[in-house]
Amino acid sequence: MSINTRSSLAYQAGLSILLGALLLTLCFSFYFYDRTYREQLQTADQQLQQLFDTVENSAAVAAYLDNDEIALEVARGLSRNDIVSAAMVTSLTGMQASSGTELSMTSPGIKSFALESPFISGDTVGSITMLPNHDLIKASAQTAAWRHVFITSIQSLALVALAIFLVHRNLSAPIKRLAGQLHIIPPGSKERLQCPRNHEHDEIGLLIKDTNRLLTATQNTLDGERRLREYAESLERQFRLIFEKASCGIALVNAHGKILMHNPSLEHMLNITSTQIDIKNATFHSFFADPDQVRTLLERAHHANNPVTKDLQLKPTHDETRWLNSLISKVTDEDGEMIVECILYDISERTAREQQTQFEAERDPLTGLYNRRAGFRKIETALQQAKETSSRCAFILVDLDKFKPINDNYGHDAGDVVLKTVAHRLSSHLRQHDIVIRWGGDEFLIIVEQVNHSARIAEKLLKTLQDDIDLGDGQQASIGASIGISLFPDHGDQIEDLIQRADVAMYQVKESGRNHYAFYATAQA
Amino acid sequence: MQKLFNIAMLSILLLVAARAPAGIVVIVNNENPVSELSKREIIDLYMGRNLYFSDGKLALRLDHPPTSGEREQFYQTLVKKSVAQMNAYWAKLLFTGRASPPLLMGDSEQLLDTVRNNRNAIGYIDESNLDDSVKVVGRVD
Repeated sequence: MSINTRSSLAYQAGLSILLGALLLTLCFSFYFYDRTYREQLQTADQQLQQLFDTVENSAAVAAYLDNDEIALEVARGLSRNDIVSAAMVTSLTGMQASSGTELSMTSPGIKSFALESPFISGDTVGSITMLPNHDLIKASAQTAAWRHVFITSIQSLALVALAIFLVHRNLSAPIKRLAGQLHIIPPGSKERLQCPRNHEHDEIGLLIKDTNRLLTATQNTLDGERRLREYAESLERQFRLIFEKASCGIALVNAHGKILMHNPSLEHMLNITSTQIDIKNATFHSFFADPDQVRTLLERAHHANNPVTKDLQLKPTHDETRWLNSLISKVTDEDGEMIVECILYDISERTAREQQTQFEAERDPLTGLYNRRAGFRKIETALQQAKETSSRCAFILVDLDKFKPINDNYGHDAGDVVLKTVAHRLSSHLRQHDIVIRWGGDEFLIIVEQVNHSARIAEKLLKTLQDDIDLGDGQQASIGASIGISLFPDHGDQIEDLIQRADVAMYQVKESGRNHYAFYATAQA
Repeated sequence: MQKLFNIAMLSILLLVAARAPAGIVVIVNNENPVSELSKREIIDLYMGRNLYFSDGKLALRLDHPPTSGEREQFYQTLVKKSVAQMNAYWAKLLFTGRASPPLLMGDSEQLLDTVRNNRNAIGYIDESNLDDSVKVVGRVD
């Protein structure tokens, strides 16, 4: 950083002072010349008066006596002075004596003095006329003026030089040094300007004080910003860590189900890496077993103020069913677009465990059918539903015909095999939502909705139970069953009544030869 | 008795003279036609500006000795100059040769004598010394 000499403060100040001094000197010189000239003229007048005073007596005598010798001598004496160009002594009675250049009464600047009689006061006898030497007066005035100009100029130059030196030493140099110091101080550093000696209490000191205050402020600001940036960066790192390493899947989804952002856990959960699906083009709900349910859920979350939570089943892959607990809440992004945030937890294992627990609580451990207690609850539900929809259902009670001899002859293990086989055959000939309950030791209760087909179902069941059952070790068992059927609401609307009436019908079959089925007949009651 | 009267008169005269000094009178010969001279004419004559009487005759100007009381009184009264100043005046003019000072007399008696015997003479005396032998043409007060 350097400054051109011409644009330096000292140079500019010096130039200004110099120009001002020159101008002032010029003005003063003009004024002084004029004044000196006037003074010189005045001085000349005084000198003429003095000359006159000197010669007055002799001239008066000469004029009184018309003595031209004395008069001429006086005139010569006068004209011998530098300031007198010409002199003339005259008397009233006609005497005239002159000396010097040609003199006429009309010459400019001419001076006349009256001569009084030496003996009679107040009696004028003649006059002395003198022509001042104007050239000399002018020249001497000019000389004086020029000398003054010269001295003033020298003085001005000396003052200008002094001013430039002082401005440079007291202003330019300190400022230049400060500018240099300031230039190499990096923003935000702890360095400060040093105040030069003797400048503590002047404007430079003030400037330094304020500049240092500014430097401190800058340093504080920069420090604050750096700390803030570091904090923000560390926060961002932590958030990214949370986002990327979180065990839960996180996704931002827009109104059309498009996944705007997601974390690695989500990809893992949705099994994206193995299925080669481009998540950018996929919709969120397409990953689930029931896409419509998920779409509805997203819309609900869009309009709800509170997060919506639901356990959702993923589309099965490789016969594996996975469940995700989803917490869906509305957020507004920076552009004001409404999007939803989905946080997903894999709860497949928990769901499986719950299902297992429920299964174990509801099922008969041997056959896997509903146990009596759970079956009763199922029946209650089914009956309630039938009542509400005014539909009918059939209670089918199956009792094995020749089970006790197998237990007795082949042992309980063989009995268990028979019971398991029977349970399997019953289940496989019925539909998913038909209720099959192990009601007693070798007694099964079945509730079906298809009342009109109940006879055909009973025949199908009788037929499948007549097939031989392989007990292992090459032994076959042949059993049959007696089936009693009661209908809701034809034969009652209470579970106990309906079961009892199916039981009645079943006993009737047993008594009439077994391996058959019968509907409960109202007359029998 | 006559003698006593004379002494008394003299005393009175002396007293009068002592108290109020007698004036200076300018005198000429009785035969001079000039009857009266103005103060300016007396000055011009005695200062050398004009050397002639009105009838064209060159005037013979007479002066008292430098130490005499009349001379001092005359010049002091006429042009307010001391005897020394008048000497300087004449000394200044001496080298030009154009003007000369009045003729110097030994005393008042000689001056009176010269006026009595010279038709063109002019002089001045104390009034107390005056007699009929000369003609008074002016007074200097």
